[in-house]
Amino acid sequence: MSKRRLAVTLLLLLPLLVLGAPARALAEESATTPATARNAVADARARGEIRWGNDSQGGAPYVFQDPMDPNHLIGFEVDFAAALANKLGVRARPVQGPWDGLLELLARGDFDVVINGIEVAEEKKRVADLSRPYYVAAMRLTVRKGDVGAPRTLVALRGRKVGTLPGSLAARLSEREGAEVKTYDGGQNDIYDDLRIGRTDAVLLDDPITLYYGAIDPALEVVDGSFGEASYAVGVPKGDTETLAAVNGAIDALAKDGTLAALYARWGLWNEPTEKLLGGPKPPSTAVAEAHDAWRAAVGKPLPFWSRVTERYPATIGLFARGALLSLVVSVLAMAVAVTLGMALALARVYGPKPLQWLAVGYIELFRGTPLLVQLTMVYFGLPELGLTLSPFVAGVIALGLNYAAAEAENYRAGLGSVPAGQMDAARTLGLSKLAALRHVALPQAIRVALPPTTNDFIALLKDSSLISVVTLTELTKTYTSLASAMRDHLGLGLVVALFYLGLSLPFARLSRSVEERLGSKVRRPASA
Amino acid sequence: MSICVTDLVKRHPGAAAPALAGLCMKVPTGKIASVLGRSGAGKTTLLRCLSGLDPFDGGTIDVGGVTFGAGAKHGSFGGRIGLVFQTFELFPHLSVLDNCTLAPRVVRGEARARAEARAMDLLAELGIEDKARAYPEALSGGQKQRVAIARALAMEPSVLLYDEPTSALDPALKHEVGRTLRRVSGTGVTQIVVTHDLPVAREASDLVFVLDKGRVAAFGPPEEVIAEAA
Ligand SMILES: Nc1ncnc2c1ncn2[C@@H]1O[C@H](COP(=O)(O)OP(=O)(O)OP(=O)(O)O)[C@@H](O)[C@H]1O
Ligand SMILES: [Mg+2]
Repeated sequence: MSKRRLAVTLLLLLPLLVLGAPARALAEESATTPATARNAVADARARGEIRWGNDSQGGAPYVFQDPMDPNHLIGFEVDFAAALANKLGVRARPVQGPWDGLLELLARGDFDVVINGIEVAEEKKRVADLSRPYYVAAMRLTVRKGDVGAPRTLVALRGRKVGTLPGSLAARLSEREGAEVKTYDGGQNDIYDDLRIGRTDAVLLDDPITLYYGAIDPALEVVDGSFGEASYAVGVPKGDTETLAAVNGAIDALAKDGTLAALYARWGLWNEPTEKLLGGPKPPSTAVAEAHDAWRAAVGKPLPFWSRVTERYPATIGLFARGALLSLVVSVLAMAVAVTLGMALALARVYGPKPLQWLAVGYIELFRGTPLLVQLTMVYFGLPELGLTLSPFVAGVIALGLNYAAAEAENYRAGLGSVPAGQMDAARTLGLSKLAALRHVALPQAIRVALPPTTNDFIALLKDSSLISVVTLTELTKTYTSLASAMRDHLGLGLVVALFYLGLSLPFARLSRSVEERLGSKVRRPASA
Repeated sequence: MSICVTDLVKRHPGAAAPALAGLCMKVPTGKIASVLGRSGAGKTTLLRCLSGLDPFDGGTIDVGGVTFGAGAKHGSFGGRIGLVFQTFELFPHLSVLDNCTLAPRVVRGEARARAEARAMDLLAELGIEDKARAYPEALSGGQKQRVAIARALAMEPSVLLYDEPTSALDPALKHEVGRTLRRVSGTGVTQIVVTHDLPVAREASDLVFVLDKGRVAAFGPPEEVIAEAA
């Protein structure tokens, strides 16, 4: 986006966000999603690929980064998506988003379909349509081995701490039984880690997760029997009957020709309810769960730290570097927005006429006083309701920029305040206009005062940029959480990601210090008599 | 240019008594006038009104035949009424040379080379050309003052106002100020010097005004007025 476009967008956004004015007129200004029903499959065919939404942070065996080669996404749903795309005559392209926001992103047009353990449930149908189920997962209860007081029935969950995923059937079941439900947004690993160290008393989750994260932990025990069944379906855009029919047809065909059976067997996920659901051929009796075996081999027993450093981490460097680059680029652009807008706000607040001052103060208080996440959500998911659909990248830059503009405005206001009134007087008596005096006398001095806090803000912005992962951007933090979940390694990879963040921020911290030292001497005021 | 102030009234917002209460004074072209008076008499206020920094509430100011009334904005005639502040107000982010060339370049659009050549001449005349590349923080009080004067002179003002130019200086340098005033006066600039320093006023000025409660209480040639006051 050109600087001009950005400026125009910003100007348009400002009153919009501050006053919430209707912005139908803006529709022409940007790419728009038509309000009429979509045909995602037709779009995908035109494009040659179908964009399927998922969250690789959710982990095995659904969609995750291959612990042996994290540059590749694997999982039974990766295989399923590929088979489905094949039947539809297109390639499959996975697109990342936060798991509990996938259907909203689908509605917004960021994906053509969602495939990521989406359970068939009434409330989901308000946001998206669901295909016929492609898998049925049993609910399994996991407890600590040797815990005599462990709950082993649904009824026994009453009053106990139960870990599970938010918005899942398991969560609803646990709540209905009166359990104290703890839900996790991060990786599945955390859920079982908390059980092992006693933060929860049991974990109720779908069989695939239990198999890949609970059952491989020798300190845990999976209680026999099923505690309910959840069916997974493909999310398709609401009202998109063509896509729904095409996806249903493809699933039917995959069930009949045995593709799904073979696929589930490979991942060790074949079960009776799914057999009943698909009604097609069983997997061959010779089938081995090779994918599951590979997972166990890769992460079942954690490698010693040094082996991880030498054997596993080198393959992650490229991913981390890509995430770091995205974080950096988004932060730099957002900072450019923040500095420009912040300067305008500070000038309006200090030198502007009264109404402009009030507007500036209102803006600053509004954006300082509300969470960045709320602002980002409004820009990304809220503005499309007004007909303005921004790309994730632009939305991220704008939301961060708008938010930090408030902080920068306060920096520059303090900077302007530090310039003695006599300086402006001196400039005026030399014949400089107010504007020229500002530009040549007040601003250069104000900027010197404001520069160190601005550099600090940039470092803070660099860290806050991790929020853009909620709008499908895989930046540095998201790269870490996904990898940590896929490789079951939070501590070691945490050190790696910390190094990357330090690598990004240290140069700016140094810059800030040296600027402070260099300018410090010149900003000192001449001793007044 | 000559200066003629008639019945000047200035009320600071919120102040009980006006800072200037019908002040009249006249300074012919090229003359040096000293303004004396105790603290709070209205001396700084007078300079700020004359230089166009502050608006006034009544009376007129006539500068070289152009008359301004209350509420009129004359700015500083584009730099033609210069003011040397008591605190100098040099621009700390600019070198001495840049302090002196900023206004000619920005206001008059002078080329850098020409502005710098003129500034160097002025600095040389004031004996501080060796400080051209220095920053204000590295100057002594007397040097700062001369830079402030050079900066004002760079705009080739017809009138130059000084607010207590000697207050930051030791006695030896005070004589320097007198000499500087004389030198500037030689170029036809009308000067008004607010000061507490009787010897400087006696030595350097053609005319003395004594202010009291916002009015001129006495005026005349220095030997008369200062003898009277003393
Ligand atoms: N900005 C202002 N607001 C209100 N009152 C002011 C303001 N500036 C000056 N005054 C008042 O106006 C009167 C004249 O002040 P002024 O600064 O002109 O005095 P002065 O003669 O320069 O004194 P000094 O010798 O102490 O510098 C004083 O009573 C002062 O308190
Ligand atoms: Mg004064």
